[in-house]
Amino acid sequence: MNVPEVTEYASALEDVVYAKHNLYTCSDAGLREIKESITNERLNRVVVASCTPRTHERLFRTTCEEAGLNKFLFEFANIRDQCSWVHMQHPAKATEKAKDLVRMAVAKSRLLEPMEEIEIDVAPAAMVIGGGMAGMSAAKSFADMGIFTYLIEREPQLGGMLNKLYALYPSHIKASEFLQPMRDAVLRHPKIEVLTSTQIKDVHGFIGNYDVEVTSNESRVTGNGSPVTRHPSPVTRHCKVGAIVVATGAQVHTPEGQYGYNGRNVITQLELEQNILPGLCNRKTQDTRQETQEREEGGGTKGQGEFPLPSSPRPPVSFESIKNVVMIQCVGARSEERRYCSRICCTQAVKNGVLLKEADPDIQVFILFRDIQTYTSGFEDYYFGARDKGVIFIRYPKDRPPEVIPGSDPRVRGEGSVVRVYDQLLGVQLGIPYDLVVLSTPLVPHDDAKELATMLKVPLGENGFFLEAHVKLRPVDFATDGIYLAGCAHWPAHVGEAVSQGQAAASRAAIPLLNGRVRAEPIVSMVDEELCIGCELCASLCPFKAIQVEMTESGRKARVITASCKGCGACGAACPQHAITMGNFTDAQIDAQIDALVGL
Amino acid sequence: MEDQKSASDWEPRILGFLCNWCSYAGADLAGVSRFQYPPTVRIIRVMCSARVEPAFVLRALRRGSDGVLVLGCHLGDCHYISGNYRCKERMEMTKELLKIVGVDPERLYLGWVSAAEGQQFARIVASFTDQLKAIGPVGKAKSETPDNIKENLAAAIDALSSDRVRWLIGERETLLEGENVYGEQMSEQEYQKLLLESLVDEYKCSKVALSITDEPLSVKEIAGRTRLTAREVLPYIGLLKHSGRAVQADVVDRSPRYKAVKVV
Repeated sequence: MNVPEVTEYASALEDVVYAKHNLYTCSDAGLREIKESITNERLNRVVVASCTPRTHERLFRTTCEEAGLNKFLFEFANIRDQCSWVHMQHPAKATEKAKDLVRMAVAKSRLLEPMEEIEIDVAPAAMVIGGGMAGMSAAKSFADMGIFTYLIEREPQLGGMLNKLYALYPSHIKASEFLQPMRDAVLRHPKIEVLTSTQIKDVHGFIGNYDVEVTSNESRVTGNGSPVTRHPSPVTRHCKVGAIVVATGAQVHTPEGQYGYNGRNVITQLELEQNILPGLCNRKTQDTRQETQEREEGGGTKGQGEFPLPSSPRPPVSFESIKNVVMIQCVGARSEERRYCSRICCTQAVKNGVLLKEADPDIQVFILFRDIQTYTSGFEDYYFGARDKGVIFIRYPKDRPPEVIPGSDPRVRGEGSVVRVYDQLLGVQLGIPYDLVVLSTPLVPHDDAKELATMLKVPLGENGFFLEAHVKLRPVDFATDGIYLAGCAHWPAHVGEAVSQGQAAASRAAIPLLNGRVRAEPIVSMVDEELCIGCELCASLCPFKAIQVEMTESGRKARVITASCKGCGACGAACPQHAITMGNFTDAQIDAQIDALVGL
Repeated sequence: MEDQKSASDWEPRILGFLCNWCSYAGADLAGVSRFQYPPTVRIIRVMCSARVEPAFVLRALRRGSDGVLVLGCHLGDCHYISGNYRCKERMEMTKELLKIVGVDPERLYLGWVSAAEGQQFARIVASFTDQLKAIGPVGKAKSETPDNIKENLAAAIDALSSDRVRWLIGERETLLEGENVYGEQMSEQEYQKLLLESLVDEYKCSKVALSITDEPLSVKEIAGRTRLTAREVLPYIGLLKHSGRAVQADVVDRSPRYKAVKVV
């Protein structure tokens, strides 16, 4: 691309008094040159034609500000990502396109208006929704920074999924033993108010000023460990917080109708951990079967989102009789119905295979897989360790899934019960007798994730998990300021990831909370009160409840809550009075860009 | 032969509206990944595809763009929760309006590109360019009549800024999901019908108003200019007079002539 030609073209445009070609405009020298030219040429608008505003707008705006120019009088023309890098075979046409883009940017910049950033006070408290590992680690991080935190859990117990798991990979520490210290630390922390058996009812407000309505069935004294007072009827409370972390976790997909799933001798990995492993792994020391059974029946904690126990009594297969275990991977995942990989099930299957082998080396464990993905440092060795211990891995092709064929009487061990599988590597059909089939099913979003997302006004991705602001640059933020994300609510994560995400979310949220104030870009709706007729159409269109219609001296008028407004423009595009426009994206500015494309 | 050659050399000018969060990022990714695409598109960044007013699309076509590309986040992935649904409704309506105006609706392309889909962005630009090459410049498509197209687009832009149309667009959800004061609910079909009727009505009314902007005309003359029948024109004159947008200027040969009044 011929940049000197573009520079020359730009310098000839109306109102352009200075145009300069730099090699690196964003270098110190380049920025200095911008500042000097603002002063020397008394510039009142600056256009940089280089890379993308998504990465460099902030830098150039700051440069303008340092030279005494309002930073919103800056405009970008993206001639790298949109020209030189994508039209390499057409340098002449790319040059012409760059001229067009510069002309359009200059046209918009003429109409730019100085604006001020918005400053908002921040309430010095946080809320964490979800009391699993991610949520507890976020709450503890907040509290350790001195930030008062509400930890909301809808179950009567903190701990989330760890209450259901038996042991954790790769150390095989019992989930309950791992959980206990964290739970105690949270319950005893003077800066954490734990609200169990509590539901989120409504969320109002914006960064720094959230008002969250919750209803609790019980309460406890903060910092006093576990004593709980149960309320005769739910108590409604309003929590005022500056930031919210969503750590609501996920649930295990129940494979009804697949592979003969019956919750008895064809079960999920989670059911294996809940019903079989505790007894099997401890039978040499003590017979805890009775105890396990009692705990399950008396539990009374089978709320929504937990693994649903069968309604008819289906006692798990007696673990003494287990000699052949067949695990099937990717059940209900990486398929047409659910395209994603749940990430954690491979390592979970490897772990449970090893646990079975360690409990009784005579147990045969077969893991039927499509691809084994034991990611994370050290876990590849863990997988090979499982093979060394005698766990047998058999690869099956996606289009020829295994078949589970129950025997004539499945309650009698091995009576013809067999899993038929095509071994892709050997190229033969195998029949593996089984006493127990364990299905590795993916984590799926909670049924009511959508409801919470709507209340918080944050998006869900295509699979129904909460969607972060940027997959690489803002992995624990939402696009909505003041709301953050951790753990399996975002995507299937193992415990270590849930903890680090919880900590990450808390430290991200601590930035506004500890600063006490936030500055927001004024790319927000602006209502011309003279034109506004108070029809409320904008208010009903706003996905963020950022517009309220108020009574004023001159009648009903729409008012924008600038801290809530994210500047999407949905309201402005529909206002029957054309009374709403967007800061930095006004109708006139966009019209000028459109017109500049071809001239008039 | 001559014609064919010049037609294949011709390259469309495309104006693209891309949302900041997904599609603009996708276009950046196409750059970073060096995915090559034809140099036919010029991009305007908006925060959300919901910012794209139908009038922007018509304005671009009127000012000489051959096609308009509107790209947002995938449905369900909008950073503003539901903005791309609003955009989808509005662009579908815009396509209907283009048909009414006599512009090939294929000149408007609405699509979804995520921040991770640089390749998809490049592909869309390439295929839309090919599509427009097949259609040709504005006025040259088979379904298009070259004369009057700019005036028609101007009338359509006016129609879009009418209270009635903007109300219907803005209140879509309320109308479809809620009940009116009589406890009745509107079906999608009924809504589309009402919207289309209103668009046609406002469009014709704007055409009448535009025809008398520069000089006073009689009903018969207006009918000639707008290609409406005199019977169609008359009620619009009444409407324009009533709303103060037109006045009777004079009477020539016993026919009253009307003139538009610029509304501030």
